[in-house]
Amino acid sequence: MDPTTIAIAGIVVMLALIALGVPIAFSMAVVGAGGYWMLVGFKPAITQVYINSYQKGSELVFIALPLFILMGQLVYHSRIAVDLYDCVQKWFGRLPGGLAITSVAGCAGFGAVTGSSVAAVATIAPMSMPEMRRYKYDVRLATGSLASAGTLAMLIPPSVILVAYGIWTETSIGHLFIAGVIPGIVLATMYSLYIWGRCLINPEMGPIGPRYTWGEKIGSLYKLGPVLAIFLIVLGGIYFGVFTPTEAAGIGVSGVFFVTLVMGRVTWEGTKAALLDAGRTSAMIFAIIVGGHIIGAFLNVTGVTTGLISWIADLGVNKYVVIAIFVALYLVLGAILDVWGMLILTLPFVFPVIVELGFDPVWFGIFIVIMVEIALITPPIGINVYVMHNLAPDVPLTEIFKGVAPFVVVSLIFVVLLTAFPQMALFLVELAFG
Amino acid sequence: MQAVVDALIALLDRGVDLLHRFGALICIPALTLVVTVDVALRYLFNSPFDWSVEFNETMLLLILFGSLPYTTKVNGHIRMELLYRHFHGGMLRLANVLWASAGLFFSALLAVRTAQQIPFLIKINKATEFLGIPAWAPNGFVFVCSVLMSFYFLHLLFYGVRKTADAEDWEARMAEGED
Repeated sequence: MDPTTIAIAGIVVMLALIALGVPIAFSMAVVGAGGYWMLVGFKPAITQVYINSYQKGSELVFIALPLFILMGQLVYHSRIAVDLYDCVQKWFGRLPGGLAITSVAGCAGFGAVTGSSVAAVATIAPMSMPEMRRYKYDVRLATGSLASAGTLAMLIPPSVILVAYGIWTETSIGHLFIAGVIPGIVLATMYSLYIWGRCLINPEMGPIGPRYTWGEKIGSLYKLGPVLAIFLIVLGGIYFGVFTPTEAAGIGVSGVFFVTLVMGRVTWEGTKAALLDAGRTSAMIFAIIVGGHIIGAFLNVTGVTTGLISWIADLGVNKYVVIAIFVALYLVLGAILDVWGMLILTLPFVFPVIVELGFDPVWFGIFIVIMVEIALITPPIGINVYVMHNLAPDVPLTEIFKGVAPFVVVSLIFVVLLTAFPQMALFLVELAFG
Repeated sequence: MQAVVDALIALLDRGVDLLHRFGALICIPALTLVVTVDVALRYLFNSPFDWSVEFNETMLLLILFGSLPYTTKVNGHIRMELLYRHFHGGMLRLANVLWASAGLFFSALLAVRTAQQIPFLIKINKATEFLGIPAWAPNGFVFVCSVLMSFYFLHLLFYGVRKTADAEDWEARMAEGED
């Protein structure tokens, strides 16, 4: 059998295993190692498994992974988000749809210190949802805005998914973090503008919230302090070259721990839960990255990746058509795969094509995160929608999915803008790193 | 026979929980501390630790591999559950056999390769430069973790999916999908 046939057979077997519920990490690793064995022999195959597991597991760049996950977990357990929400509500609550805008801003702010979208929804929704119910917000708008805004946490740095993308593609994590800042702010603004516009046209959807005096508003600003300080230390440190993303992760964890300790919010139970969860989540992500590397090595040997690149080049299609195809691909994959699955599974095929077409890997990192964000809120997987449903069980899933639909459209418009104006992601990177 | 298997799996669970706790509760804080202090020493005294890189690499390995068997135990690996949650009878058994075989294949290969590596590393007496950590030790750790994972997959292969006390989130997720 020629290598291309083996590669195609391998891909089919891998997809079949994934469809049958075999964990994605092992589906990729088994097909990768098995295929390598067939093509090159047993010894090189077993060495590939060893190199991609043992050696990757001790690469310094990976340190950012458990530490950023821990940072998010510590924030989650420290109730910093309560203060953040309280402050934002005082400033935005009086706008049409102000409480929903508060949810968006709250999730964006929470994302600036965590990077977990599920944690963002699970933290902000219990505060925001009762308020929106009290003011008789349209349930679709209320639940849809919360589930969608949670996804901003993945884009606004520090983002765990950007760390994994950086590790896999060997793209600078620092560059990716800095690149996520403007798109994160723009997307949060677009979500807020949509809510504001919608409630301006139909005020009953999002009535104006409680009134606060200027004294109360200004007085609440100090509550932003911890979040702002941690964000500025981590991002500022990377931006000004004070430390590497790995060191920023360590400083971030220590910073969160110190701030919450000063605020008297550190508990042994919370810290223990955060540490255990960080260990488990890191291992889970590590396994899927290892699987991705092993299948990547197999595909390299078959030459199918270079074949794919040549084939796309021979087609002579515009590179933006390829991007449109990738958008469609990720929308489909998002409907059947978990975010980590769709990221690592597609990178061995998609990333070389992107580089060959001349797109910036940093830009593509931001692009792929937005596509992953959309997957978090589209049926049938839409994990954020399920989290939202758990927090508001009386609202049917179908209503929440209808509620997020406009936000999916807004996100897709944003993808078009990001493709048309890549500087949106690259401007700060070029400014900081030249 | 079943009693022996249950006793063995209970022992395995205890060992795996211990590894996970060691990695998460000891190695992660140690890693955080060294990374932070190292940065502080670099800027305050222009004198970072010489040994921090090798220490951090070792800690990372202990964290990632220490938690891998636990993640396997609680069915915490990412998977597509869209079809799986609707499988019953023979189809469910087939899916579980494939799952176990794939996991076993990977963990057994890793166990074999690390086992091959250990005598070689002992023979050449390789150790890290500053802390003198013998190279066979982290290899041995990975070997142990791979063997533990292999046992879980063997159990899955012959006895099917197990409901562990700390696997609630996986079961909740599966139940959620049946809404």
